[in-house]
Amino acid sequence: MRIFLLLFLVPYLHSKGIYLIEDRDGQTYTQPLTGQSPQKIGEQIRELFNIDINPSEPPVKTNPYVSTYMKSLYKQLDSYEHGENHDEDEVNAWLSADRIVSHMAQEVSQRLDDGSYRIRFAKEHVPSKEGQSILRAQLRVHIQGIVSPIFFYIEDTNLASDTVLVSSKDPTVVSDVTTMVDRWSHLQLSTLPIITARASTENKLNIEAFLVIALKDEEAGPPKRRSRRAATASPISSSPMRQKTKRSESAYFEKRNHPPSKSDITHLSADANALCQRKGLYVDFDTLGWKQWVIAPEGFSAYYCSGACSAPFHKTMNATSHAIVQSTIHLVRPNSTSPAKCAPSHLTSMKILFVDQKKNVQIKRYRDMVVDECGCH
Amino acid sequence: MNDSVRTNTTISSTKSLVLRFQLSAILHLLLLSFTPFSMSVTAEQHMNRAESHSLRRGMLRKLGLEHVPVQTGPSIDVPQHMWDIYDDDNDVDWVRHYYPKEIVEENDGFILAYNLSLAARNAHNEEVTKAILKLRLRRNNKTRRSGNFTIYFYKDDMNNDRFQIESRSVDNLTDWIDFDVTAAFSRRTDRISFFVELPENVEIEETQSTSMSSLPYAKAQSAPLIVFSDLSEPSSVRRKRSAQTGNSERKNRKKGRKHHINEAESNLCRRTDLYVDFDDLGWQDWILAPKGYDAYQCQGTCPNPMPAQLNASNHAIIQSLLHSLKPDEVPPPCCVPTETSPLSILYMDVDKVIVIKEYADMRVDSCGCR
Repeated sequence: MRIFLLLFLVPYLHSKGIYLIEDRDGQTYTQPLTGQSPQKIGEQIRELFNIDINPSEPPVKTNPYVSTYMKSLYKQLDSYEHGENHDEDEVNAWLSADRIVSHMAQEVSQRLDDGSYRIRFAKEHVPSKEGQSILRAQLRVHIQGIVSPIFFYIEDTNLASDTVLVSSKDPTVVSDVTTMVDRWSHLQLSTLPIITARASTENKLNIEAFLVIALKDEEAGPPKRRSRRAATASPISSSPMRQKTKRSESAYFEKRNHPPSKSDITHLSADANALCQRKGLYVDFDTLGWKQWVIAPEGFSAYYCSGACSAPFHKTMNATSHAIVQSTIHLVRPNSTSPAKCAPSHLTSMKILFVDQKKNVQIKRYRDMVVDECGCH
Repeated sequence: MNDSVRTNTTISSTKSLVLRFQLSAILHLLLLSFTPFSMSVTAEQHMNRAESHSLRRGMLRKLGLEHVPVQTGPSIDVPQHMWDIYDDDNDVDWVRHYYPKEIVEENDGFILAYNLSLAARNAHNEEVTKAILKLRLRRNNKTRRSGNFTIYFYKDDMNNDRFQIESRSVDNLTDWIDFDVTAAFSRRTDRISFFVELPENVEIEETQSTSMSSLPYAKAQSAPLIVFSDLSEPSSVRRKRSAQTGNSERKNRKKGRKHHINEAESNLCRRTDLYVDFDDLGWQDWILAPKGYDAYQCQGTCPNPMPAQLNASNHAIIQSLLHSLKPDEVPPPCCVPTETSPLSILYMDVDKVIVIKEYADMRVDSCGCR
């Protein structure tokens, strides 16, 4: 319901950047948070996101195959996160990545005399081993100029020993090159080995190739949740409630351009007696000047937790045993401890699809970025 | 001679009874005289009482209890073997100790019937990992003959189908004899009955009861059933084990001290000491053990920008930034527990069922800004 109402408000918020959202008496109220220039806040948020973009300049044009593929990957990850069935191992590798980077080949040769094509990647495209590990690497070759189905064969990639049949209907060859890229990352060479591909045709083919690499930060960032939560290390949430929220969220992005009907942008009530609960907080990338660089999403609901943690603890307040113990001590000996505090009890990650300054399309995941549940701690 | 001693004790106990009565009467009067006064002084105290009552209920609910289990009949001490299980950090989520509801003596042995239901109602996926039938027996005559002991269990109450679980020969009857009856717990049940086949001239020991009132339990106390289970909460992974051994306790303390290094940083979010005395909280009536524990707490500020050691989440960093922009509208991140461990407690459920169970999230292991 909350999300639904939001649809009509969003177009009014274009110059606001970040705003608070509150449902009261069946209506949604919003309040812009940014008194200062959104660009300035955007700068600080960009720093937090550690995102390699430059909002003051238009982004460089990217290869359409790469951006199309990365968009579809982003969507696919989204649907997997929302509980769609999947082949566990393979998908989990992509889902658990902190960063998915794409790199166009530096050079793909024309058809050589021996009928082969040479694909070369730049050394800088291989991720360094420092502070991160390679979960998966994929070589995607897009072939143009296929008249009738051809056999295509990629050498040097360990796994792609099989020759594949490619037709103009589906002219993409995908090869798992995880071991190869991993091997590359250990090499102390100034240039990388060249990948040779062969096609069973004498026609001149136009070949474009790019790598997609899933990386995981070695020190998995700050998300040291309590051990129970470690179970949700893979970002697939099992609770149907959570799925629901997220689904409506994506619906929200899709329908953002709907015409507005009515909006109530007023100041939020400051209810000091409110119980600990999750409150709306939306960060709009568009107005931070990120629109050109960030392909998706257009913004995200971060939420925050606020409210009192005093007895009686309502069920929705998710009080931990320690919170109850501490509150009781506070009651008996007020000086020895403070009352329990309202804070997130479960956070989920969010991801951004963007073009970095080096023309690479990236998917970056931020753990513990969105409040899923609040509770008394 | 004997008679006079007995009379003496009766007299002295009567005296102490009178004394006790007088004391309690005086206390009562004192309380009565104070009550109207205190009521007029602080409505706050009433609020506190209501609040502390609701907190107490909240804590009981965590165990699946609606209220403190009412004990009927005589008070029975927690037997030593339960204290041993409690003290021994044996990695079990849930231990229950039952006395038989019924003991029916037959020619060649006796039937023991246990009622396994509890006041605590928690929907758990329970897996019984071990069940021990403990017997304390004695021989009627002095002959030292070994004999075969056979335990059967009844598959259901309706018919007398019984299955042999264990059979063995025991010579020494001076101590407890433990029989492994885990096999009887292959399915969930609220009642369970065993038939114990005994050699000739062997019967259940009667506990030397200290008071007349505990007499009905004289035999029952010699045939407890102890059930060990693991609880797997759906959609959650096993938590850290309770840190009850002296070793990990010491480690915890050390962890807490680590943060005391720098005076200047002392106001930043960190773990500080907090000892919980259950007597103090008025919970000693259901928590029989421990008497108290180191709960620790999280205290301190979460400033903007957030220092790295504060273990802040991405969300907390954003919230901290927004708080710095609009302090009135967005609260700063909170210093809260980020890792916790459970605490095993020992309490008495209805019908003198002694339970050892883990309370999750009782002890703070580390703090962070959230």
